Amino acid sequence: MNDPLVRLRGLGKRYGNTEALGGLDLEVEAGEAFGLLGPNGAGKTTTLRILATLIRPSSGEAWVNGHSVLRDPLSVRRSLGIVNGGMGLYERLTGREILHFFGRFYGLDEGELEARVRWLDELLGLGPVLDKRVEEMSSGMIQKIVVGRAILHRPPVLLLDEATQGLDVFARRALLDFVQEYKAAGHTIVYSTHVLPEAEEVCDRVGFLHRGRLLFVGRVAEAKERYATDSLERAFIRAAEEVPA
Amino acid sequence: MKAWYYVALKEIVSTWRDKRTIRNVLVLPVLLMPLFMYGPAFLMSDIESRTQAAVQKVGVRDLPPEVLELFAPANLEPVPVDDPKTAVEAERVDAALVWRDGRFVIYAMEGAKPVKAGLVVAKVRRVLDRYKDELVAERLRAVGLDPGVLAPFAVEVNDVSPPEAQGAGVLGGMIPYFLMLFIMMGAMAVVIDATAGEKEKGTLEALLAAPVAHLELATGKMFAGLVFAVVTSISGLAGLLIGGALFRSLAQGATFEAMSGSFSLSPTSTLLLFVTAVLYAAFITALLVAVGMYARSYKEAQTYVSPLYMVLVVPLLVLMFASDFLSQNLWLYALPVFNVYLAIDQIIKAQIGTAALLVTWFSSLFYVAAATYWASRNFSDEGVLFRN
Repeated sequence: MNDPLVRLRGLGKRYGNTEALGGLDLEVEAGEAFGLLGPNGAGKTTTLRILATLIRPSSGEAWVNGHSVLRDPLSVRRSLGIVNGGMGLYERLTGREILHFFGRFYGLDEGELEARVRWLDELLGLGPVLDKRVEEMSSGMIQKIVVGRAILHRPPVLLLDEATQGLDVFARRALLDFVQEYKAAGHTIVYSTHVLPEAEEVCDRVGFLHRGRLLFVGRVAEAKERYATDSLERAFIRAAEEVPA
Repeated sequence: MKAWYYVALKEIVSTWRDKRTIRNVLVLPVLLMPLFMYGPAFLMSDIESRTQAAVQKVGVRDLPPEVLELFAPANLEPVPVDDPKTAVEAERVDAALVWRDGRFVIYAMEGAKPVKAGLVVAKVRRVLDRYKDELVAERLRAVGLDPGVLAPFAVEVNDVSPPEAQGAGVLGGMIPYFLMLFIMMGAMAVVIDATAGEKEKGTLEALLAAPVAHLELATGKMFAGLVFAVVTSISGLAGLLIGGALFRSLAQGATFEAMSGSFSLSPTSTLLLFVTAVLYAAFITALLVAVGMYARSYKEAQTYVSPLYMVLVVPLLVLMFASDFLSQNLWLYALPVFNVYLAIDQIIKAQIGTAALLVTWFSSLFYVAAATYWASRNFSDEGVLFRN
């Protein structure tokens, strides 16, 4: 068995007196798409922000690609890309300029950058979007560049946090198709969402996160079997109902 | 290249493409500041020269013929009036002069038209002064005295301050204020968008998730702000100097020179001024980056920056009235912000000492480092980054 690319050990986070995460233990294997599911306020964004080294855990630790988020945050950042629903872009730069801007942080030279941009163009169908300024782009175009920016350096781990939020039906479909392609290419994906049917479509395993605690971790079919339902949504609700108020 | 360079380049390109910002920060000050600075002096000078050259009508009643004879050489036309007050109020005459009960009484609209009435009254007073001098001289001669007895000695004041200080005028005194203004304008144009703007547009998380040290992020954003602060200051000051030369060539009379001065700097003073201003700009930019990171939106950042602006103005007010008394205290050159204003004031007047300059520069470097550290910390402080 491969080493897990994402590992959480007793991961906790407090905001003042509020406990956002209550000691998560989790491992996500290489090439796996893992769905972190839960309602708003469950702790999904906090978990992903800790993995992206944007915030520090209050207790426990996390590793991405073998690097500790506490001790080696720069290596963690080199190992991942992040997309969230609220992410924007620099409106007065073109798509190509944005990709070059971020690519340079990963040590890519001009030749490598152009090669990566061509690769992204083929993968995401960027086309004319590349040389348009963001202020002239539609939300679907912006989301393509956001995704492109996140995977430009071909990170082993991709974090998606409510990534389909605000997208129209076409852009949402394109993103879900991309996630499946990216997973098929052997990359690890942590897919955080409160839209459970999306997770059912793209994820190999899921974790039910409720009030900062993981109630269940396993395959979608296992979740349905354990909670005796054919709907992942109902399975989550039943899991949440088992938690004492 | 280091990451801070790419961050700075991105901010500069992004700001440069914002035509509205460029117009407000780089173009308008160049065009408008000379008007604000020299416009009033030019207008006053123009009104004065026109009033001196033009002939004004002065209502007269019961004046001695000797006084009336002095009107024409003074470009005044006497117009006999019965009621001087009404004649002035009705604007049939610019002023009126009456001899009554052993004294001359002048009527003028000084409250309603202070500039024009003041200049005409001054002309009338000069006529009366000349008449008085002639009268006194005549009476002294009648009793066998030389009129020179009334002026037993003369007084002469020589300004021995350096030519730079003599010529500084109003502009010289205002340079620290304008520098502060231009630096704030230039830095704010970049920094607020690069900090609070990043949060508001949702671009900050991706940047923070990139493998870049937060000190490099802060430094890159500061450097971009510094570039705009310096460019805005240079273009703003150049606008003032070029505008001053233009207005000076158009203006006539001493009023304009007295109000605007003939500000000039030696190459050495220019270099010292530049280094001091750059250190100040670096400090202000770092402060703006640190403060801007607290804000969640562009609008909120502006509410934070306004008090900062007030804080920066207060030392200037103190300096305007008390620089002569404060410039000898070396420890004042170590106070943040105040040190730069004091040093610039003294550089412009060619009065700065080496010790004062070194204290200013080294203390400024310390403040730049402290503000940069604060800004960098804010890029890592989740309480600042994700504040609700």
